[in-house]
Amino acid sequence: MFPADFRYLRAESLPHALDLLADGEDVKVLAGGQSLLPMMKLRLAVPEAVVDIGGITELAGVSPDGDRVRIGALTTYRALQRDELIAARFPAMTDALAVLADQQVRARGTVGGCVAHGDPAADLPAVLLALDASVTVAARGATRTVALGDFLRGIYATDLATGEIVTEISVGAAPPPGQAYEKFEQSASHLPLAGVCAALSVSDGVITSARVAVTGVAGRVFRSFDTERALAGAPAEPASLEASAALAADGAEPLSDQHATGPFRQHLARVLARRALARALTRATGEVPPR
Amino acid sequence: MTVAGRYVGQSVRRQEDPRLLTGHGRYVDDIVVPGMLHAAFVRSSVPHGLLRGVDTEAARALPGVAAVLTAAELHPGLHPMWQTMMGQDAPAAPFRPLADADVRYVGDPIALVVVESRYIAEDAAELVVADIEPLPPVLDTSAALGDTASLVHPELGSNLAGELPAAGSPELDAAFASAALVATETFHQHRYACVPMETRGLVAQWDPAGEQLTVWAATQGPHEFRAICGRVLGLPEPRIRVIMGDVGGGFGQKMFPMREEIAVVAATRQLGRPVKWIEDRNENLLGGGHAREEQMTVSVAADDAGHFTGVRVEQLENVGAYPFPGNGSTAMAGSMIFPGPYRIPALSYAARAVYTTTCGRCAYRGPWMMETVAREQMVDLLARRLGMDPLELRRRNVITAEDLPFTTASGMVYETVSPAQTLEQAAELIGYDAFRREQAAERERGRLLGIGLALYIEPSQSFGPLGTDGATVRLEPDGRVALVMGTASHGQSLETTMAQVVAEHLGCDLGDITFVQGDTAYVPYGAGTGGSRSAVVAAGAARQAALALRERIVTLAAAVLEAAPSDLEVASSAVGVRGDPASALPFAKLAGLAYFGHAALPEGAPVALEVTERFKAPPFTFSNACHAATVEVDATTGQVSILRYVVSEDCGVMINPMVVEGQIAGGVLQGIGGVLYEHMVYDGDGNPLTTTFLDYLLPTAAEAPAIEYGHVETASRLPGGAKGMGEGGAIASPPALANAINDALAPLGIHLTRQPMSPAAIVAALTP
Amino acid sequence: METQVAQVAMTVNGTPRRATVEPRKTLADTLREDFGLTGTHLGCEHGVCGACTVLVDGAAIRACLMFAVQADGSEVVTVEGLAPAGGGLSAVQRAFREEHGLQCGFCTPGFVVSLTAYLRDHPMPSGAELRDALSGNLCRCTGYQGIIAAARRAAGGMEDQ
Repeated sequence: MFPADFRYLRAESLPHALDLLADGEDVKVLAGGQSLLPMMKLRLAVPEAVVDIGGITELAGVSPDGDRVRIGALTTYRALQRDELIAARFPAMTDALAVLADQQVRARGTVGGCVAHGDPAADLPAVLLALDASVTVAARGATRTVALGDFLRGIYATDLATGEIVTEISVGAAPPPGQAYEKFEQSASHLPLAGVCAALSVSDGVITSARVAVTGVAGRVFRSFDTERALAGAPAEPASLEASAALAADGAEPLSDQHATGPFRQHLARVLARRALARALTRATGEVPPR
Repeated sequence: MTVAGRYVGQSVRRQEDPRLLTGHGRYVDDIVVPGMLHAAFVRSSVPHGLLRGVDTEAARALPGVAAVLTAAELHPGLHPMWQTMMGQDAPAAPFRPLADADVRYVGDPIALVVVESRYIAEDAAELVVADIEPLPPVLDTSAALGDTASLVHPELGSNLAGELPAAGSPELDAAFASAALVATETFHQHRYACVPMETRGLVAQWDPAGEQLTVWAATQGPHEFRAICGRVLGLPEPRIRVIMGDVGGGFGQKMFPMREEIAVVAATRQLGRPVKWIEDRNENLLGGGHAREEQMTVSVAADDAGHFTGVRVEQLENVGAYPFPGNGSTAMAGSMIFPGPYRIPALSYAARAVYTTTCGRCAYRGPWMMETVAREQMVDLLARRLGMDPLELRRRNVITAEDLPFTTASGMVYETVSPAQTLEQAAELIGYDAFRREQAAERERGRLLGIGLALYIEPSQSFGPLGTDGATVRLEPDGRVALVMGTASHGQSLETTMAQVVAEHLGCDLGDITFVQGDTAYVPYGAGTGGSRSAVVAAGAARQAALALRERIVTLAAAVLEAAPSDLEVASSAVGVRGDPASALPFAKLAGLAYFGHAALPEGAPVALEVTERFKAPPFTFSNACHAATVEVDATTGQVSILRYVVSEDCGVMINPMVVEGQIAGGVLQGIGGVLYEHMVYDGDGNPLTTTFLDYLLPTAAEAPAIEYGHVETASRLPGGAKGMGEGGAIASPPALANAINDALAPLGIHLTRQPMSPAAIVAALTP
Repeated sequence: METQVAQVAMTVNGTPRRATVEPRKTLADTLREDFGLTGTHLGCEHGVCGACTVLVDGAAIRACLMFAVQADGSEVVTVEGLAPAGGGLSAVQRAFREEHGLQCGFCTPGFVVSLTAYLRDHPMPSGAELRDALSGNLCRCTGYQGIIAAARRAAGGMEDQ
């Protein structure tokens, strides 16, 4: 299980990386390598050249920036897990980071790499999508920002064009406090058969807004607009959650494989939506629900 | 209960650990030989098809490529292959290291690429193009036996790999005719695999001048590896040296060299250069040997009190294309072991094994275990039909101490088993009655709790070639002890336990013993580590050799001390007159006399302080155990949580309780993995879908329940009182867990008879 | 295509090491083949089993999922570098031996490195945290019983070091 030969190009800076990327036809960007290396070893990815951006330290780190929080693309899961700002304001991210892959992957895997990989069964994109994240993408001479919902296109497919690098993910600096991530995990691979992130805003006993994102179920991580609509304006109590959670996988074209049929994945999405919403509501209202 | 000795019976910490913990173990991939080439296989991506041609030109042109060998180049001059245990005339798939004229499963090796580096070997393998004309795959075992089925092995004329006809009896017919209740059910076990953490691998080196072959191999049996190399290459066995270093697990997969290993050995001789092959995980899952896929229909006749009066069994095994060993069928063993721990007066056992265009079956920890998997699930099903608690039904049928000696309907004779005691001990440890009360209360609140039991009797297999093992015990000139054995320990801790046995019976300090195994040039013949035989056969040899050497040392000391041997005692590596510690002669002193100072010894004093003994064991020695599990099933997600897991085990006199529990634990989690997570899946076209660890899901520490142990120690009739127990953990855990899951689901009227019992399968069963 | 080679330099178990490698060579293969440190094992080569776990700049990572060129300039510690310089076993290694946390030993280096890193950062873990911390490593022999017991023992004894 060895990768095919490739040219290795180490980028010293972002402009350098973009130059290297623009010069080649079949070039892959290497960040933490936790998704790319397995693909290369199985020879599912056979790039002619690899641009290693791992040394571009300015692309790593979490920083507040006005009404947004910027997460550098090279920020590792481990760094994110240890970040005080993340811990204080983004409990759903903390939920996901605690159950995402394992100690070794968390040490090397990066947020930007995760998003750029377009894995339909990744944990963090569900949280980022529920938190209304946007993705900043750089190419030589140009930078653009895309909503994550538009960036994720399909199975390992994203909006990323040839010559572009994901440089940053940003989320709102004042996210709804009612947020939670729930997953149904497979052993060993730690991949979610399904995962749901819910983010609720509650005011005067009413759910004023809701964002619910689902991973592992369809060809891409998606928002469940039906669930969100059903929640908006509903009383902030457990009874509101059941019916809306039941809509969580409606309209999704589910993945089906040896691990689970499409209907089972949809079923799990509904169950997890209920659980994520319940926990999110608890966090929003500070109330502990009866068991 | 047996009184523990100074060493035997103690949880001595392992001798092998310091090197393995510090990265100083030596596994086959750590072997580097000057001039060594690296091999990679080109494999079929088609389950079944005619091999029209193999284009190797581009691969041969790649710099660093020494050879690309297809069947046409590799096979000429090779002789038939057979395994010692199976015998020369046993039914078996055709022998061919590489595919020739056709391919018979996805992963079938088509060509062997031999290259300067591992990385380029894989580049070269990619450049080989096989032209394959697809044929219909053979996947379903029932369809495979139909008249119109495509043939996996056309030269055999049938897909029927083996058959065991039913042997009925008037008693059996009468039992069914007069039964108060007859229950029949078919149980399915899915395909899963050994998956040792170290894959297969070897380094082979041919010396053309001396016509000698040296092989460093990841193997469970160096002598069997040697025998097969000798047969295939037509070489005398002493010309072949097989060396095993540390081996990273086998669980049956490394009992016999399979096609790839034989191909590499043949290539080495042909090329005259050392060749290394380290299987990658992808290959290991694709083609390293699979196990378990089979179904068993059990009919039980019972009287109105629930006593079994007769059982009919029909087994259907999927043995893949190229099973190892023989035809891959386990029916013969299954038919002998099926009655297990119960009084079953009459039995018939029929079986068919079927070739399919899938990876061949290999031995896997308790290869015949379907008998326990089906039998124990059948007991629970029958209990449910009778409206009786499964514990009570087992109590009414289990063999008790009063029944011994007991001859089963299949002719096995039990003398020292204790299934009734382990049943009671497991029920006590898990708090069976209290759990039943808790379960009833929780059911009221909607929680699905369940408890499952499984009993089994495990044979240490020491029939035929497995029946003897050898040990050399040598007092070295410095008074230390070399223990040289024909074992092939690869995780079973024999380096420690065999030394414990020798230290106990020789009377030396444990730290004085150095253990040597795994080099056919130097060690006594051994049948390898497998079949739960080491504690019986190998320990028997170690004990016998230690006692023989002790006698010689005592005779020598008696001559030196001018005392009667009967007045001497041996302790802590010294011999002295009983009650006179000052007289004690250290082993070092005696060894010095024997090796160097023999001129001063009296006439007749022994100077050969080296003994080799072979121990011959009875064909079967039986251990037994009862597993008990409690679970909670989440009806919403189908998730199974194991609440408690108890094993009550009787493996006779334990040499090292810590090692016994370690063996139980490992086996139990393999069984749990099989029921809940692991599944080797083929799609409807015969393509394997689970050839990485992202798809073939092993349990991790996060999934492992805490395992609790109880011990019953009933000595076997062997000197030393041991019984084997290496496989049992994996045999009884699947039915114990399945029974617990079904018990939890009972209020919903569901009874699952198929594995894996994955969340998806459970939710599907719960969904009307 | 002309095969590119690169010079890499790193500190391995406290000793500066250099090697000339193809870019596609993994850190694991470089440690094993160029530096002769065969304690780092390869059980799956695709980033699941964790047998190849080593410390790179203090973090436990899979050496099969890192090219040697990516480790250029790093501080690497392998299982061979954990035991005290004078010989003997580290606290984690001792705990594995005491609790029968290994059988065939093939996965063991990865577990020992993973646990060493985890306990350094989390001195007082709960049982569930320990199980999660070890879930990036696969063992086929022990049923994880001895490994979890070893982790508990080592966690309890870390302060004694």
